[in-house]
Amino acid sequence: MFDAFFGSLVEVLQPQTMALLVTGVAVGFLVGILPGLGGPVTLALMLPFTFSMEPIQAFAFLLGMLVVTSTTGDITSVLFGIPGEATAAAAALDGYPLTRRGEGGRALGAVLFSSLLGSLIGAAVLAAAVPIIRPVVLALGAPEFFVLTLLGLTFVVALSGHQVIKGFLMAAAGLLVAVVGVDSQDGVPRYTFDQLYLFDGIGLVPLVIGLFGGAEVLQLMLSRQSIAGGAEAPSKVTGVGQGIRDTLRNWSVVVRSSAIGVTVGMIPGLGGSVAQFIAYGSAKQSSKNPELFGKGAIDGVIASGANNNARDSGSLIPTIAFGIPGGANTAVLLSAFLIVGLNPGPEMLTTNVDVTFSMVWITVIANAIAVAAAFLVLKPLTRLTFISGPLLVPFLVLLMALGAYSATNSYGDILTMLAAAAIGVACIRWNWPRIPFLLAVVLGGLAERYLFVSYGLFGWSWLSRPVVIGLLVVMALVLFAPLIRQIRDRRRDRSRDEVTVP
Amino acid sequence: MSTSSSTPPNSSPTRRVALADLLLTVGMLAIFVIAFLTALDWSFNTGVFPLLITGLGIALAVLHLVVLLVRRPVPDLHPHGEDEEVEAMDVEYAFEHAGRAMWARTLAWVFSFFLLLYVAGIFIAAPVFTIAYLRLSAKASWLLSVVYAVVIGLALYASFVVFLGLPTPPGLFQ
Repeated sequence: MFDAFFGSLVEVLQPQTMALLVTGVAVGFLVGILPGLGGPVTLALMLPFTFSMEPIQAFAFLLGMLVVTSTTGDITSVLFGIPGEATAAAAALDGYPLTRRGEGGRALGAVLFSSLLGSLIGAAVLAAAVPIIRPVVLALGAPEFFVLTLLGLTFVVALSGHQVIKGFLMAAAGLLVAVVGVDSQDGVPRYTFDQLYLFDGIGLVPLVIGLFGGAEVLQLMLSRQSIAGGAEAPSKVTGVGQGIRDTLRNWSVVVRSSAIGVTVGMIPGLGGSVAQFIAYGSAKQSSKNPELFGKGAIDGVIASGANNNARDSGSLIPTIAFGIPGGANTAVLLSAFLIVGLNPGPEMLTTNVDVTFSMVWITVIANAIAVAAAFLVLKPLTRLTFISGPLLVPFLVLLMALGAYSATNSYGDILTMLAAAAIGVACIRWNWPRIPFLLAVVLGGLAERYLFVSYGLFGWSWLSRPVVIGLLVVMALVLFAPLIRQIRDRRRDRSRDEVTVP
Repeated sequence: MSTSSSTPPNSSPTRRVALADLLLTVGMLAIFVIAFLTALDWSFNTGVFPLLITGLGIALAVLHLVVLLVRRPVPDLHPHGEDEEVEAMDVEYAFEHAGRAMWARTLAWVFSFFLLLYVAGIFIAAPVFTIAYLRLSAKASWLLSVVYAVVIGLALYASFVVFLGLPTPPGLFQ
């Protein structure tokens, strides 16, 4: 295990891999700062670049990019009060008031340094989780993995929103898309309409690009405004060292917020938006000056920074071990696993454990580079936020077209991308969730394979295996708990109405 | 910053959302039913998984239809979730507040690009679209538009053709 751990560091430090890591960090840096673009969108647009890469190189590029968006997303939160990423919203609550008080440098020093410490804690937990989870994962068979797939989908649907039925409908639609193509059992074409293009199934790359990229590009075209809007850049950014010292002084906030980030990150569906506010609330509760929260509390800024980066490592644990991503970022990252020929699950903890450990090093090195770069070239980079949104449109449209076409070099890929974009836009416009759809497309093939192996080995008796029953019970609890809570709340509201209106 | 939560309860946008939900659910129900009937003709190995999925899809779509039709109209104060404040920079806000003319113009740009791509290929579509979009929509200067088109064209050519060695979309006559 130790050999694999340090061996993976040697692999990450190879010149070509490091070059890709630095490229990924640079892309993630820009994306994190530009509020118009999100991590999942950029990850989707970058997937075609990984076709010819080795797994560790691909993850150096993609994961390096992804983890850095969390770090640099905090910069615009602090300087302009505009979160670069949805997960950086809590940093704006206290970071921006500090900037308005002329302490922007201190807030940036605190948020960036706490991000680095959070990423170190998260990476340590990820590394420590491998030997702990390995025996658990190896003890599970195909039936358990089939039910785990369903459990992952249930978590994502039930915990991520208020529209549970819509979420499950989208998941069913995603599973339907996943079965398009020639059946691997009997070689029968399913839902292909005699189109040769569909025999290999719906391409994951054009689908992901369309689903996430299409909507973002349309938004830029529709809103036609400068990304930082009417915000003003602070005239000077000083006091960074003070922010670093504040972070070290508030080490307990860093540790607690990181622990919350890792824990929440491990639960599929809860996501970063929830984690940051739990950490923020916890920091407020334990603060000596809770009245300062929302007005410029440095411990609020530290909690947000540390939480974000630790959460990224936490969400990697179920993705790697069970193939259950925690949210949009890891759902798209899961597509990358399949593109580079990796199967999440036991393989990632045995034959490909070096790839898993490389993710630990990539997270640490990428964040260290990003934070160092942020301190060095912070001021000029913040000017990027004043780029007009429509100026990015031609570049993004071309990137989408080329990226989608590269999947199988067919105009069918571009049509798939456009169809996925239409689905993505409709989902956002009418409030239908996209993540269960994508997750079901990604997991559909695996789920069918697990189901066949389970049936082939055990008939239908696999349904009576203890772990399967336990997982089904958890699934039922996850599914029905919000419904029961909703009914109880409605009854309470109704009885309150009856009391107030005689 | 304005938020979508400023929409008054039971106003037309809320009803439109319900109508859209209804239409989308009926559409999905139709797809699941057709897919289910198609899967009935396949062998057990080929059809069992699609039958399970589409059966589940039909049940969920019917359940959703019942909920939409029977449920008492509830003021939708948080159409994007309670903890999600929709801000002017958000994609939800842009989609909800763009007028029909803006939507038509935007979709026309997208349609034009992909039509041009199909007919003329990437090496003609890229500079033509870039210059036209920047000049006419983003109101950029000629100099910026031409320099942007050249730089972006070279960057994408270097990335996809030279570095990755991937084929690019050809035109209809290539």
